[in-house]
Amino acid sequence: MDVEQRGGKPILLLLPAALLFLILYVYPLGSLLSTSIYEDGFTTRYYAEFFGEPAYLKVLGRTVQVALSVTALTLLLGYPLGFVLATVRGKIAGALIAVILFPFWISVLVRTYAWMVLLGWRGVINTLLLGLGLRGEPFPLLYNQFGVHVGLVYVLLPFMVLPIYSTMQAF
Amino acid sequence: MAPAKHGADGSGISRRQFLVGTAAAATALALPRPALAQENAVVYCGWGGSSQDILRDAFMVPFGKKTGIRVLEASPTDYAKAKAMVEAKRVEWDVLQCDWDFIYRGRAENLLEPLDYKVISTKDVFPEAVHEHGIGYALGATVMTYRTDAYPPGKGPRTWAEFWDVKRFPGRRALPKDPYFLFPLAAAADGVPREKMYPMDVDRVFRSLERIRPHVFKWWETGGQSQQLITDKEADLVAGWTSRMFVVQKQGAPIHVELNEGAPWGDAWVVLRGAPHRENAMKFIAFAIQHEEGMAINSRAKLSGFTNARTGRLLEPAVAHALVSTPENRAKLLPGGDQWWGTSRAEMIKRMTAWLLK
Repeated sequence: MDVEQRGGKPILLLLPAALLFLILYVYPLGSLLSTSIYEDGFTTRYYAEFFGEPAYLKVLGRTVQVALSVTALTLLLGYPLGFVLATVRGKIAGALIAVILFPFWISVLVRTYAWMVLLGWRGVINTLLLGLGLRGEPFPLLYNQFGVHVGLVYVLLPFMVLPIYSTMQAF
Repeated sequence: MAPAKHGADGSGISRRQFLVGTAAAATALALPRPALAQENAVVYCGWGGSSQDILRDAFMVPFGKKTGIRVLEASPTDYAKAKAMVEAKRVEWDVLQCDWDFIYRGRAENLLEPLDYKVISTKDVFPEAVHEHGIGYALGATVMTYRTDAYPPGKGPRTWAEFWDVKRFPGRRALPKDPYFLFPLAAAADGVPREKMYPMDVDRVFRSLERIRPHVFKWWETGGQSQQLITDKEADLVAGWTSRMFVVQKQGAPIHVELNEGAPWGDAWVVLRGAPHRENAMKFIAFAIQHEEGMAINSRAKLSGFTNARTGRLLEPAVAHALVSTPENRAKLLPGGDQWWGTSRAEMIKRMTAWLLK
């Protein structure tokens, strides 16, 4: 029996979240936006300054590039995972969900530092490779595109898997 | 199940009422918070991390005990943020710990309160540390450090030209990203004589940086990062600050700190214009600059130079001779150029950012 049938107004349930969102997100962002276009009168000079500086445009370009590649990678990894989650039954499904959600219980800072321990120049992976004699020199796995992608894909994978899973479940 | 039409039957909140209601609530709650200035406190913003821990013991705790004024801490010092706060007239920091060149910049851009020298005594303080808008309390340098498992102490690079010599001294390198700390090193490595260092030949500096660029895997941005890179063995050679490197050395990291050709910098205190606890900020500086026990703690921990002459008497000879500010050590350092940096730093940061993106 849903909220409406019981005579309640579902929109009221949204009120606390909406309030939080408005005060802590919309208002600060709005005041920041107004500062960027209003200074003793309307001005576009800050935007002109930003988009006129080639260094900033480069950074923006790189940001978009990384965003696209990370999205593609998480989709590649997340889609099959979501599919498996949606089709598997019972306890296995529960266990898989727990595994995907477990990292959320650990602070993102701790998780990132753990990756630094794994990927470092004399970190776990490189020490293993060198110790097994598979390679003479360590791989640079950190402070480059590779490290950035590993970190971002790892943190963002659950955000790709869960919506895919919930959508597939509806079928 | 027919979808309910809110408000159509006269009951419940219509969408319009909902939006108006939340907007009103948001506005009411978004009113300016009550002024913090009513509290008997002072907000100190420093570089954070181990550096601030030491200063807490040296100055903030004794100050609190003596005056009963609460010292609230913030970090890290961010010049862009400080400027934004002053211009928006929403200053959150009273005392700002900063590089000496910021005193010049802050004065030029009208970001600072002039220090109240009726309250602050400059007795026994070195004259070059005293400025109208700021006061220097510590001295350090950006120096070569290397892991002793890569090079035994003394066998590593001794000049920046040697640091740049990747054939003679191979190894992973990390250099500071901030031009203020980096450019003197690059200039010295290229052979710029000391008298000619300031005003800087920036094109020459960038040519020098081009040479070392392929061998630098990380341009570190924070003191904590420089410490971590060398203790985690990510880098064998790091150009870092004495205030950070001596601390990790004391904590047991196998590193050697080479003072020769160090690029000097100073730490200073300024009061931001429009600070909410202006009087308390002046009281803090007045206390701290005369608190030689605090300066001694700072000097012992980081081998930083002090600016109050009485501090020298409190230090053990072993420590006193190792300080960056002793005459013998000072002679090894490169010349400082805070006045040039005061007006050029922002521009150099832009150029450095552009260069890194190439």
